[in-house]
Amino acid sequence: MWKVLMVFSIIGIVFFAAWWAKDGCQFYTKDKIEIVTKVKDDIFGEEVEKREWIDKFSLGIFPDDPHPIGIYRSLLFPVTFLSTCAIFSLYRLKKQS
Amino acid sequence: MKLLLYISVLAFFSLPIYAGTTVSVIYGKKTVTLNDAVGDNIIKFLSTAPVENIEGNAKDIQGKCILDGDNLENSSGNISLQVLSMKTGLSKRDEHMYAKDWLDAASYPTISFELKKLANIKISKSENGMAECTAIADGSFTMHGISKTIKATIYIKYVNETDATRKKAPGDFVMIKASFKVPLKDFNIAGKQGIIGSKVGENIEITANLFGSTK
Repeated sequence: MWKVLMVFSIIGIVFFAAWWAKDGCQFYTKDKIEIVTKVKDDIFGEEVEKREWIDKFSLGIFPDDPHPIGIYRSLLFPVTFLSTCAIFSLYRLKKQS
Repeated sequence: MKLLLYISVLAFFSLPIYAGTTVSVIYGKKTVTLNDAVGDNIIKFLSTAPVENIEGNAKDIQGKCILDGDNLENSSGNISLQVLSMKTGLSKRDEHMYAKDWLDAASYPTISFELKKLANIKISKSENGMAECTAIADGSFTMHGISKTIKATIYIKYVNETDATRKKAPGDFVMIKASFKVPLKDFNIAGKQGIIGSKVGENIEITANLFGSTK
């Protein structure tokens, strides 16, 4: 049982780290992302930008809300929790053997 | 008689020095009003700090400028943006940015730039109904209730009205790209202690992409 918990904790850490990397390795969690579209403007004869904010969660190391209740919206929360689980599982496994 | 001759010669050679830059495509003084139908008006800002780079933009921009085709140096205008339209992708941080410690949107709801003149004008193209030039825009930048003189590097593209432009909006079209830096300290923005220099840059880089039409 402790072995399974340890394996799942490690998989979980890798999963959240990959999620964080996919979202751009940001310092703070964000609740909006900017969509930048570049289109060729025939009148001005050059590329012009269109920028738009859309509501989308992107994971950062620290939460977007400084209030303690918002801590779960960060990489820090699952990684700390899962690391604790992995270390505790390892400790229990060593104690059993 | 000799003195009169000297003055005439001096006046003749001084004329080109004082004559303004003429752009053949811009006929006289043109009032350009920012118009989202022409292009997406946007002002971007970038804070570079050791902890994080913060990039954001504002889209609620209004303004007018007068381009003088006979003396481009004599151009003027005013561009302003609503502080509450500034976004960084993090709503809580945006709330802090609008708060009293930072931009104080309640007391100072707008940030503006008043163009007083153009200098160092370099025209790269002025033919076939299109003109392009770069210049230094000299003006007064007002933020947080404080006005300071700022010089911005600008690029102007002017397109005369054609059938293609009329499909989007009436009048001649103008695209202006500008960039400059704003030192927060100069505008009495201190933020929370220790934040500027670590999480927020001391200087904010501003880039504006502005589009307007003359009607």
